[in-house]
Amino acid sequence: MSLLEVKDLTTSIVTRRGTVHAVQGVSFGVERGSSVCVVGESGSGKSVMARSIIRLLPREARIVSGSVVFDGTDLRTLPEKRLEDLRGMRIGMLFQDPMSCLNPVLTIGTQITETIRRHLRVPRAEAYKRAVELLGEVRIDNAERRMADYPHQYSGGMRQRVMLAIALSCDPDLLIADEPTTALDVTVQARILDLLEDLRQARGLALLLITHDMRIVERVADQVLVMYAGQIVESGKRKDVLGSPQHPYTEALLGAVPDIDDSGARTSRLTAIPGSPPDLTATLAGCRFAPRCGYARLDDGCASAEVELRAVGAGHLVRSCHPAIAREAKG
Amino acid sequence: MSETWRQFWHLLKRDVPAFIALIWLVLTVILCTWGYFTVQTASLRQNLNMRLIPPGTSHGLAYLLGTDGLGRSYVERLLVAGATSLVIAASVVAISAVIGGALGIISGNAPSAVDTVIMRVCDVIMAFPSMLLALIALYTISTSPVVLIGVLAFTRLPIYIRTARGEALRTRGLLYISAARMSGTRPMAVTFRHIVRAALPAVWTLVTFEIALTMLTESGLSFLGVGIQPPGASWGLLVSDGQTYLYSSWWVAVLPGIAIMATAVALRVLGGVVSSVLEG
Amino acid sequence: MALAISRRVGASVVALCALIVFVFVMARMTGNPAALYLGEGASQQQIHEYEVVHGLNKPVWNQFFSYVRDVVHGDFGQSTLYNAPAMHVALSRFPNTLVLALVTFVLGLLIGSVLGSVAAYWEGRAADKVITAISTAALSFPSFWLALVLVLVFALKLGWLPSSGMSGLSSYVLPIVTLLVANLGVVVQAVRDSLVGVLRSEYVAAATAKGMRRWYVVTRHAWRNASIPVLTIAGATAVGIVNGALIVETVFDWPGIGQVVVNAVLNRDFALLQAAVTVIGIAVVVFNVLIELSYVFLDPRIRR
Repeated sequence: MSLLEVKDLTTSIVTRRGTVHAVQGVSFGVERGSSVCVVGESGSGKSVMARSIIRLLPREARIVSGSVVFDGTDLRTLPEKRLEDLRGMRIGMLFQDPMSCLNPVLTIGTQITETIRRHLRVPRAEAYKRAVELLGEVRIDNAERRMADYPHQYSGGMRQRVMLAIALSCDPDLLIADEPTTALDVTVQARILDLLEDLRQARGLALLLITHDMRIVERVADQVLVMYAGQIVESGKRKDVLGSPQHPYTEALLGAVPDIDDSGARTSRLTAIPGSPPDLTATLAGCRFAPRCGYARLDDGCASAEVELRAVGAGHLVRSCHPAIAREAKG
Repeated sequence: MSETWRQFWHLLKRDVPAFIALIWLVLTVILCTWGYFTVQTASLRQNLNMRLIPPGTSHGLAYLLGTDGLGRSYVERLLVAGATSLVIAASVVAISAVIGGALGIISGNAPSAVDTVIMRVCDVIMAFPSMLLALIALYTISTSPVVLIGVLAFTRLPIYIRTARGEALRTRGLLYISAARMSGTRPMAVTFRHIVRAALPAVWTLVTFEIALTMLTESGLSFLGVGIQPPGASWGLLVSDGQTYLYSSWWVAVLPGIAIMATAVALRVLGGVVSSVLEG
Repeated sequence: MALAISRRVGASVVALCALIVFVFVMARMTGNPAALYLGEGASQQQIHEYEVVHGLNKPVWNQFFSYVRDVVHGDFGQSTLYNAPAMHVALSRFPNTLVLALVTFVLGLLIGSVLGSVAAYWEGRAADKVITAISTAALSFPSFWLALVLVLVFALKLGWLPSSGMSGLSSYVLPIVTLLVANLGVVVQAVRDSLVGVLRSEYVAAATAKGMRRWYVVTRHAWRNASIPVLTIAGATAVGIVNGALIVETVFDWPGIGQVVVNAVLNRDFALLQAAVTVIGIAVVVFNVLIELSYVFLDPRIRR
């Protein structure tokens, strides 16, 4: 049994403009110690999906249906108090913007030790000692001295390291990382990713990483989920999804990454995906990608009939009327 | 614009308190305007045989809300006083919104030295207790409505300056301004077209809330005897007159207070809707 | 940080000086104080003597400088209304107002924080709607009218509380309630809006994701951040309490400095007015300094 088993998860957000169907029946699993990357454009529902797992949603959002089974417990129906015990203890979380996710009026030390003391129930001095060790592990220099600093005295990259230290402080089984490097400089991004990978492998931690950056997927993922308009449109092993993408959307996403060969010349043209994602307040039918799909035609009916996820290989699923494999067979 | 109105109407239909607020305001404005033009002289007619009649007795429509200490029809008094209160509040807000809005936009676009001076002056004005300033100015200069409007408008300037300046700074940073600039439009034209348009929603919202606040301040000054002077009337002055008869004839003091409060509440409730329509 | 302090406090100091100059200019611009004080029947001789005694026969700028010199030396002249040193009258009345203002401020902050927090915690629910509606109404009460209604009900009809004057603890109730209502409206909305914003912030989400208890997140993570903008608004309400005191002290015949100001204005007692305005101004300045100091305590970002 997987560590995390998400089934048919559906989350809606009520806004003044109408109900946004942000996540529409998403199912996937995360094995112990493995890493799963969720990719998609902004607005594809990947962040809401990640936050739905630990019910970290704004009050306008509601999980409509589905189950989120973590190590045998359904988090969706778990009482709030029991869920609080689990958050931070067995599931850690990293956020997109390290500048805003640390409390500006509390010291870094306080924000790490309070987590340790909350879950591990150790004396203050021991929590302090562990916090200093953790800061060292995430490679903050002068860890002891920097415990008393406030977040504004840390740089963006260092704050994300602190968030990582907090997330790992109670030795969780799963780390959910919601675009943890998007807000950082490219060089800092690489260092944070390296650190994350090192610590993950050393601890046998499972990772659910949300990103829109295919280069990160390439580096980190065991499994890849591609999300579009609140649905999973393709999933499978990294080698399969990146090596032989089946969904036109995945192809376009990969096409949007400049592919640079050894000589430094671009081998494939940078292609932007024409059009924009659909309005999720509307009730959508058929293939959500049809209006932007280069292969869809008016008469093939894929814009009206619901398209199911279908297996195109071992563990490789795709939700499209025009998977690459079918196109090749035809033409 | 029509889109804005439609959205406004759409929100109002679902918001019962806001709907009631709008009806109250429309009725108040219509009735007070009517009262100002038709019953102003009638409202001053004294009838000492009809002094302090309580509301709800069968003496005809003019005596529906009773009479005051000089036997004047209280319905008529309230309507005429309401017209004064509303006109004063609206004038104050109009003056301070236009001047403050303009100064704010200037401040947001001016060299930093000018901007700093304007902002410091704002700090100073805000540090004045406005009632105290108005009390001194009104009593020493003169208790005319013009001075009243002037002083109140002056004390409320900073809030418009700050709001408009904030919007101007925000807008200036937005991309479409630089786009318009690059496409060769003259900077002044850019400033006026884009920045004014972008600052308007916030100023409109502020205006709705400020009318309520100004009405309260005016009524307070009239109550202290330095605002509107008899034989003129404002709701605040009517409350003040009613003090004398508080024990025996409570309605003289209570009714105009209810009018002030209901109008202020209505404006604030509506201000909430205006804010959510215009500012999202 | 030093800059922020000097800015706010500096503004109050400038406002205080401007107000004193304003009072002086107004006093000299608007008619002859001697004629006003002595009344219509006064002879030339009487008026002249009065002017000499009060220095009113000298040029205006001369009067101004001697006035400033006296003010710097703490001499505000003689109150014509009370026939006593003006500053002495102002200072003897000030504590009565200070008690009202402090009790209002502290109660406003306490009750306002509780109600505002409840509204923010249950944002959009029934509790929020009720509290928001009440605070909107509280903001819309004309305070003099509320004072009269309270007197009508609790003093005249029920006879539970005295209708005016300062005599014993029960006489404090109605003035304080009147001042408190408007103050509470401001504080409740400030606390609510601030806390709603903070509760939606990423660091509150992050604290929740760490598994901290809901109560702990609100009290330890959210409150302190939410209190920073509330403090700014609470500071501004000090000026509002001064405005309120003018009216409340008039209605309740409360022997405070607000009543002194109103009496001084209505009787053209400019020496007294200047003394009272100075006392009020200094109180506002001191209050602002205290507010600034609490920022330093609350927000590490402005510490060095």
